[in-house]
Amino acid sequence: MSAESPEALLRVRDLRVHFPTPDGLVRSVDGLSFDVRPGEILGVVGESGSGKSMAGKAILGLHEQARTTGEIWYGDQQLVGAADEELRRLRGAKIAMIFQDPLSSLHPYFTIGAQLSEAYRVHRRTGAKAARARAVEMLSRVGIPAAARAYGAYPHEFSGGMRQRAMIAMALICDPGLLIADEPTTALDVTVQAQILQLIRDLSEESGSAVVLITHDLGVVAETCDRVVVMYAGRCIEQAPVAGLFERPMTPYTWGLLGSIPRLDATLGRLEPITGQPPSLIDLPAGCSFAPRCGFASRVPDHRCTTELPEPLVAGAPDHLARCHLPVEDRQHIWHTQIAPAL
Amino acid sequence: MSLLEVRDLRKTFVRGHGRRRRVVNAVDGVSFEVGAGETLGLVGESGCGKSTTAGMVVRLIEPTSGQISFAGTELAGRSERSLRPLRRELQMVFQDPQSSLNPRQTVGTILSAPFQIQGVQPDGGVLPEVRRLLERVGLNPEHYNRYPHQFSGGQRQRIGIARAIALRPKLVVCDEPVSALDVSVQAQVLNLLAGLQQEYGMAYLFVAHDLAVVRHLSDRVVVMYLGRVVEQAEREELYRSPAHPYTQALMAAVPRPRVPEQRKKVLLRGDAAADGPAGGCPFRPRCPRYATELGAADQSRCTQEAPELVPLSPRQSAACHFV
Repeated sequence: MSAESPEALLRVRDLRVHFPTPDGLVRSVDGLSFDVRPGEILGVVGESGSGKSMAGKAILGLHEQARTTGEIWYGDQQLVGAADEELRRLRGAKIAMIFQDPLSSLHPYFTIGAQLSEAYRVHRRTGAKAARARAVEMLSRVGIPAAARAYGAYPHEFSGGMRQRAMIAMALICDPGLLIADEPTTALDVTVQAQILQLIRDLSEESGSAVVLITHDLGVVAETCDRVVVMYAGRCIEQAPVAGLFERPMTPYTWGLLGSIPRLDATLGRLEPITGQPPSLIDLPAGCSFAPRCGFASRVPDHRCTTELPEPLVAGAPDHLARCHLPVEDRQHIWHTQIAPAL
Repeated sequence: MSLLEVRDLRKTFVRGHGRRRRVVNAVDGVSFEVGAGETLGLVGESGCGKSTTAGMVVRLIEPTSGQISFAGTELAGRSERSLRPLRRELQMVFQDPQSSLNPRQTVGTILSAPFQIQGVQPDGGVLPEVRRLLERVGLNPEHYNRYPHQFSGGQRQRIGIARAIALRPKLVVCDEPVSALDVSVQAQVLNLLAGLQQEYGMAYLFVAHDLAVVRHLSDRVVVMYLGRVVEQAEREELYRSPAHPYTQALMAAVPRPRVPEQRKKVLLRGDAAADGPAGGCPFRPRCPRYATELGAADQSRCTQEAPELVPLSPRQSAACHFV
């Protein structure tokens, strides 16, 4: 759902990740398109079940049980349907991933250093000595004090923040072009989260790596990302540069998310949450998936919201896309007169 | 007299044996009060002792020392049996509704348990009261026959809340009640908690790590760090002018869902080590004020003397030598 940008490093087109289950086909991701340019941090934000993590795993080819269709281009390489061997060569070397819980991604029996240098030796085919030097260098680059000593430490000897730093060091040891970070700070305290987000920004700037940052937290998006994809029920419902999204969000779903968040800098009376719950991914509603919870669907004539899936169309700014049947002028009016003043 | 008065509450855990034996002061002399109908927020990062404190208030965790006086009765040191009548007035909502609801009981059974245990016969019988409760927390009253797994996470938390308020307690201790929920569901549950308080006038001891959530619900806030209270204030004072360097850093670190103005900010280094430094101010190793603003003479005060909580105004106090 984004304009063609020839310089994009990663291009995802009409990605679908479907899981056959005894209850029916679960459409975790259902027609997702976006681009990421080198050096760019793209936020993918959504609530549980929106498909944000599934999309991230699909890029790495980590779904064994799923039917994955569509296109995922890394440079000129098509990843959907690529051979396992080819994906294995890309993973770690060109595309790396960090997960929410660093403890379960690190092997408890091996030292941090052994796990770091293994990744480098396998992909770069270097000797143990060069790999060790590189691992120590990476550990100090991610801000781990006394890196040479930390090399010999076991994961349980590190705090949560230090483990996530080690994971980032491991992910970036081969200088990948693309880093996929799935809720990298969700398990961390807020002061440590701020450090890790800063680190991801600095490293992306230094190395020119593209980052896909998957998160449920719009605050993390606002402070870290350049552009953002808002997902709902497996689809991208809105996509924009970060400033555009927070200045003029163009879908009732994004308004609902913003209205649900308590403020740190103001005392609000009542929050304005989105009513109801997200739809079942087995039985998606016809039309816009958000229509059953949308307070504005009745304003659109001919029941279009419940019968016709809105296309991602330019809304307000050329790089701002949104799926919504409400006329753009109406949405701008609603945002400025009803939604923004209450936030 | 306050509804709940906690005085110099302490909990020490012993870890390891022999030479590796360590004593961890999880809660290290905490005092606060909660008035009737009031919400006190208890906020801090992991390991600060906020959940241990909440657990001691309802006596799920045995305090090592200190006093907990609830409605004029001392709770610490009393037997479980003699506490039982008080449980009617003192309830708890847990973080994870999955593990705090019995998966083999229907919601009807779960919600009628408080009436049976306390021997309370509501007007019109237990089942109609259970239905009224379900309806009050925003669930379908006809679903009393369902099991917890048939509900979503947000709905399960509503069941946990319904159980806690069934007997109209005077105080509900809420331990991270919304942190496992998605933002839109979280907002629904926060509104529910606020509405119930307005209706029934109960007090909340609201434990959370999210400063914005705490602001939304609390009248007063206690900020904890490594087992101690570092700041305590009325809501508006705390959020308008946080006094303790830790509170300031904590607030600065919260990412805001707003158009970004400036991204580089002062970051707190390191993380709260489980045992902290021996003696002196527990926040010293991470304190930006200690590191950049203080001379050697002042610094030695921080290394040697643990700061007491001192009032800055009638509405705000902080534990720092240099506020």
